[in-house]
Amino acid sequence: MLFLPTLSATGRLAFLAATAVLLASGCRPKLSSDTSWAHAAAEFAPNPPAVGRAGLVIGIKDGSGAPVTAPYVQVEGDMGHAGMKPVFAVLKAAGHGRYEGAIDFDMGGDWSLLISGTDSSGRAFSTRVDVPGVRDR
Amino acid sequence: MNAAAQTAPRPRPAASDRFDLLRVPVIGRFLRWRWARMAVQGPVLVLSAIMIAHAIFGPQLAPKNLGALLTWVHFRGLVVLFLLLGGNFFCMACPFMLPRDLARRWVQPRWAWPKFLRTKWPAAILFAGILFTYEWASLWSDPWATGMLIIGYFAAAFFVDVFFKKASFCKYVCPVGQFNFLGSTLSPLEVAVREPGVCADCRTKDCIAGRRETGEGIPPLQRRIIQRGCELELFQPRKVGNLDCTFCMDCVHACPHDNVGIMARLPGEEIAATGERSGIGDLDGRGDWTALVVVFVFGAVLNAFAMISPVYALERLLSRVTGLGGRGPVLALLFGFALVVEPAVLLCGAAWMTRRACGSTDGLSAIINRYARTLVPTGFGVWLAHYGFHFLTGALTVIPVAQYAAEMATGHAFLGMPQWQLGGMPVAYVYPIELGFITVGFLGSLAVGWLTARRHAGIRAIPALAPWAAIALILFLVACWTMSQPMDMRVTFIAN
Repeated sequence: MLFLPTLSATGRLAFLAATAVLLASGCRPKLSSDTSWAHAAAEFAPNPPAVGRAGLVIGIKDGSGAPVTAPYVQVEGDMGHAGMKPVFAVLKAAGHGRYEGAIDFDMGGDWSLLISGTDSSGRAFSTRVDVPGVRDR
Repeated sequence: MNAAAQTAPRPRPAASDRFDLLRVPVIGRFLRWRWARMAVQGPVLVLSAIMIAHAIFGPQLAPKNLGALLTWVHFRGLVVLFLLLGGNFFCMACPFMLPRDLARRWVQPRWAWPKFLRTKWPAAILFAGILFTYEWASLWSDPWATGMLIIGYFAAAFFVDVFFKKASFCKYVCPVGQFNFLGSTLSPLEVAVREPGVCADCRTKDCIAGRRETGEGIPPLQRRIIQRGCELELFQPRKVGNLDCTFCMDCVHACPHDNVGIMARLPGEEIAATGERSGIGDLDGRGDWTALVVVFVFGAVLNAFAMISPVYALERLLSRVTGLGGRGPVLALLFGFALVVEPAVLLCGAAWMTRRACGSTDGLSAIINRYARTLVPTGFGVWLAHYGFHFLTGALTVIPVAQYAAEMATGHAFLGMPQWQLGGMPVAYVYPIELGFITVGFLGSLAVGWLTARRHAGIRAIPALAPWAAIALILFLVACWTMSQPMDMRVTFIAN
């Protein structure tokens, strides 16, 4: 900053603005912040999924690979484009950490499922599963 | 009587017969208020700050991020609707100008914009660059990158206008401004002189020169400016239409005779106008304006096409045929074809046919410059359909996203729990509206093309216009087909 006093008023303004821009641009958050202790995998019927109602089975395991048991899980489906409203589904437990139900994809493209719930010991979890390329019918 | 005289623009009705927004109670009074622009820019600046903060620090899922949502759905949708129904009011409310205006209270720019850059080429290239970056970086799904884009805009406007005099950023750099300038040729309102006779007797020309303090012994150009004249170098008595006009109201405030209004006019008529325009020159000799028109028109179709399934099949095909890997090179190929090769072939071919059809001795470039701009209504119709689709189907999503943002920021749901079921109009209802926009745009191109052809080709207007009408028809059909395809939004790209 020692050279700042030698700059003209325009130069100082430019320097400060450039510094602000650089500071702001250096703080990109992680695009995917899956910090949950649970991990999920999804299966669809039809597979690959298409626009419309799709059967959905989700298997959830903890870090050691043991199935996660909960009475049900909530699923929120999001698209990548701004302006798209999410779709929701509730999947019922089918045993051994598997949950079954259906979800309604209302547009083709890349989807992301946010799966959340509370296991039998009261621990909350949420994890994401990407569903690339849902087909148009 | 020659053809030009037969088809000369109709004399404008007397000012008292024309609708003037500045004469409307309340709205007119507000717009004539000296601080009106700042009163609009201020809230938009605050909103921009919220958008940037949420884009950078908020959830990185575009449908839940205010920065991405308001930029790609609401801003774009409202811009085209305001242009269609009113005029260039978004440039009036531009928040990028507020920091530079404040900075200029303390720092006066020293340099004039370089002569070799006083064209629309930089803006046309930037416009194409923004469209390319939008696809390549999937900006529509990337809140952080969207926030950086907004910051970049603020920084660019600030740096350019702190160093360079007048409104250099607006006139020569800003891609959004150029979009608005071309779109506003279809607007029903224009900033225009009320009574030309008053201007004929005016000696001070404050609308262009502005007003400075009076001061003994101080050279006139060193006196402090107390009211700006037009910083985009549009001299009201010779200004034609909305091109390069930011609706900043400086001329309205500067005119000592209260002789500038926001007047009703026939949308699109200015596209067919010939001759010198203040601050612009003769469009028939401006290849840079034509380049801008090409990006505006062909970019509209390309931007819409990139949101449907067939684009991915085409990208895979291009990747397989050329061996190019990664989305960037494949997209560059696609953009090069759609914005350079295809327009060059179509416009040169059409100009050659027009010249043969009417036996003209004009050069091909003059004919291209003259007729290419008749495609602007078609392009605007496609932008309206595309941006209108996103806005109409997603307008209400701002409510749950704002509720969610407030809850995340404060820990309290003081705006209520997010109502995620709110969206917008069903796609099935929006589709006919899209087709309506595209059709009106196509018909607008035919009408403007007819005016242009009558003016320049006289009795051979139909054969002169035919090739340009064919291009408009091709664009119209491609746009209709594109809008009939289901939207398919992917972030991924699988080469080969």
